[in-house]
Amino acid sequence: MAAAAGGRTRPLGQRARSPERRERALIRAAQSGSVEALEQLFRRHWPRAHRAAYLVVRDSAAAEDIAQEAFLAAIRALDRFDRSRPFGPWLNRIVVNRAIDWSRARSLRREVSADAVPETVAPAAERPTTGGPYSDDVGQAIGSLSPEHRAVVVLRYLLEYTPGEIAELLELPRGTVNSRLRRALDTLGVGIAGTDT
Amino acid sequence: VNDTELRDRLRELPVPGEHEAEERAWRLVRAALERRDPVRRPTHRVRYALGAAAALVLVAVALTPPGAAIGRWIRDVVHPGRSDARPGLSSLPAPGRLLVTSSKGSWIVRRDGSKRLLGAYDDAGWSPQGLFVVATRGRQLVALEPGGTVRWSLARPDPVGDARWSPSGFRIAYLTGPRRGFEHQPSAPPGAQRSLRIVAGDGTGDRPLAPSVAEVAPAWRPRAVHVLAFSDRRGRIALVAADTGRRLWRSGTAEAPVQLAWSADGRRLLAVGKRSTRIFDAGGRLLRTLATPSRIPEATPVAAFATRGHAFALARGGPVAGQSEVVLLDAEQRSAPPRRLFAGAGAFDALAWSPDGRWLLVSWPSAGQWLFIRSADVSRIVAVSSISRQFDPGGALPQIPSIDGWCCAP
Repeated sequence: MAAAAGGRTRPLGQRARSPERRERALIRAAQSGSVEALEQLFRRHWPRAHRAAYLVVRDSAAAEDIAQEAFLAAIRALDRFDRSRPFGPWLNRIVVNRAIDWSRARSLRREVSADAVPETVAPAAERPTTGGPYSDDVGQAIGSLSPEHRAVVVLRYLLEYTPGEIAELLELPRGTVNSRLRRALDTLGVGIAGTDT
Repeated sequence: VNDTELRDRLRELPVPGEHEAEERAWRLVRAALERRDPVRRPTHRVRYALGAAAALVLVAVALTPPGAAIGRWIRDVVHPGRSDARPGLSSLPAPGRLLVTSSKGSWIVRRDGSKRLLGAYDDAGWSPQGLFVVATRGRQLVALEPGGTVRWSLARPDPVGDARWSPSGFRIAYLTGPRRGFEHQPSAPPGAQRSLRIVAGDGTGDRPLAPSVAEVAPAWRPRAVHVLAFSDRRGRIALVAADTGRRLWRSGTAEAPVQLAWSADGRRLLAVGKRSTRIFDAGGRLLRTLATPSRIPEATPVAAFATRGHAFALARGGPVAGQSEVVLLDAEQRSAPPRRLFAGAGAFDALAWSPDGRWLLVSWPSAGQWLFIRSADVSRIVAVSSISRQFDPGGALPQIPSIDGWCCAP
C-alpha cells in the first residue's frame, strides 16, 4: 500500500502522524488504488456510519443499504475528493441525509397505506437479546422522534458534531438545529424516564 | 438522562447484524475500488511546474482580452457541456424516431420522448421505411419489429455487426468474422478476417460477398438497385453490384476509413478516415480530400450528409487543442469555407439529421450531452444532459449511447 501511496516501502502507520495527516495519507493511497488503505478507511468509518444510519431509519436492512451506498458513492468520487478536507464529515453528511430521505419516503408510504403499523425497533426475529441495560428503551425513545430530530441527535451525540457543524452538514440555520436538538432532548428525556421507572 | 448517558447509550445500542453487514459492505466496497482505474498523480516537480504555468495563465486571463478567451476555454475544458442543458430527454424537436444502442441494448425513442428497449443488442439499424430494425447480438443477426418482436434471426459461427438494410428493403449487408484485436480468438481459424455477407430481407439466401474487408459498415448507394460500397483492409473503396458480385469500381490504397456515407441522391460518397476524408463521385472519381486531423487521441471524425443536396456535417478536431468542432461543408464547393455549427471540449462521436433535415443531433460524450442544433439557425441549440443515465438506468458506469439512426415517423 505504501508503495502505491508514494513509492515508499514503509507500511502505513509505522511513523507517528496526526490522525488528520494519517487520514489524508490513506485517502491518497486509496486514490492510487491501495486496497489496504481503503480497508483502513472503511473499518475506521463504517461502524459509526452504519450505526448513525440505523438510528435514523430504525431498519437494519435499510441502514446497511444506506451506509453501503454512501461508501460506494465515496469510491465513485474518490478521484475528485479534496484531501485537505476530512473524510468523515463528508461521508456522514451523505449517510445522514440519505437516512432522512429514506425515513421521509417511508412515512409517505405509510400515509398512503391503510394499515397503521406501529413502528418497532427491529423485527422480532432480529431484535437484539444483548446490550446495555437501557438499550432497547433508548431505541424505542429514539424511534418516537421524527427523522429530522433523530438526525440531529445522532449527529450531536453519536457522531459528536457541534450544533454549528450540524447546521453546516444539513444545510440548516443554526437556530433550527438548536431548536430541533432541544425538542428532541425534551422528548427523549420524557420517553426514557417513562420506560426507565 | 444526561448528555453523557445518552451518548453512551447510543454507542452501546446493538445494531442487528452489525458485523455481517460490515463484511458484506466491505466486499462490495473493495470490489468497487478494484473495478476503477487509479488516478496517476503528477510528481511534485510536475505539480510545481503546472502550478507555475497555471499562475501565468491566470495573469493572462486577468490582464488581456486574449486571456479572457483562454479563460473561457479553460472553463469549457474543465466543465464541458452546455450549462443550459435540459436535465433529460423529454421530446425530440422534429418528427421521427431515434434508434440508439446503450450497454443495456437497443432503444427506440419516439418524438414524445418515450423510450422502448428492444432488447440486448450490440448495434442496430433501421429498414428504409422504419418498419423494421436489423440488430446484431454476438453471432446473431436479428430482424425485428419496432415493438421488439423478432421476425427472424440468423446465427453465424463468428461475431456479426454493422448490418445495413438496403434502400429497397430486400437486402441486408453485414460484417462477420473476428473483430479487430480479436483475430486470435479460439473459434476463429488462423488468419481469419472480417468478411462481408448479404442476406435477403426475409432472412433467406445468406451468402458471402467479399472475403476480407475493413472494420467499417458497408453503405448501400441510394437510388440504385442493390449497389454497395465497402472498404478493404488497405483502405480501397469498392462499389459492387450486390446481386451479381460484379465490381463497378475500386479506389486506390489510402487510410482505411472509419465511416462510409452516401449523399441522399447517391451521387457523392464520403470515406471518412481518422486523418483525412475522401469525397468520391458515383463513378469512383476522387473529387477532394479533406484533412481531418485530431489533437484528441480518442476523437474519431464522423460525418452525415444532409437529407437533401450535397452538404454534410463533419465532426472533427478543432483548431484549439482539446476541442472538437462540428462544421457544415459542401461536397461541391471546394473553395467555400466550412461553416462552424458548434465547438466544445473533448470529442463528438455521432451525428444524425432529423428526417425533415431541419435538426442535427450531435452526441457529445465528453459532456454526457446530446445537442440538437437547428441547422437553419445555428443560434438555436437544445442541449440535453444525463443521456448516459437515461439509457442505462442503474448501470455502474453508464456510457453515452451510440446513435444508430433518426428515421421516419411511424
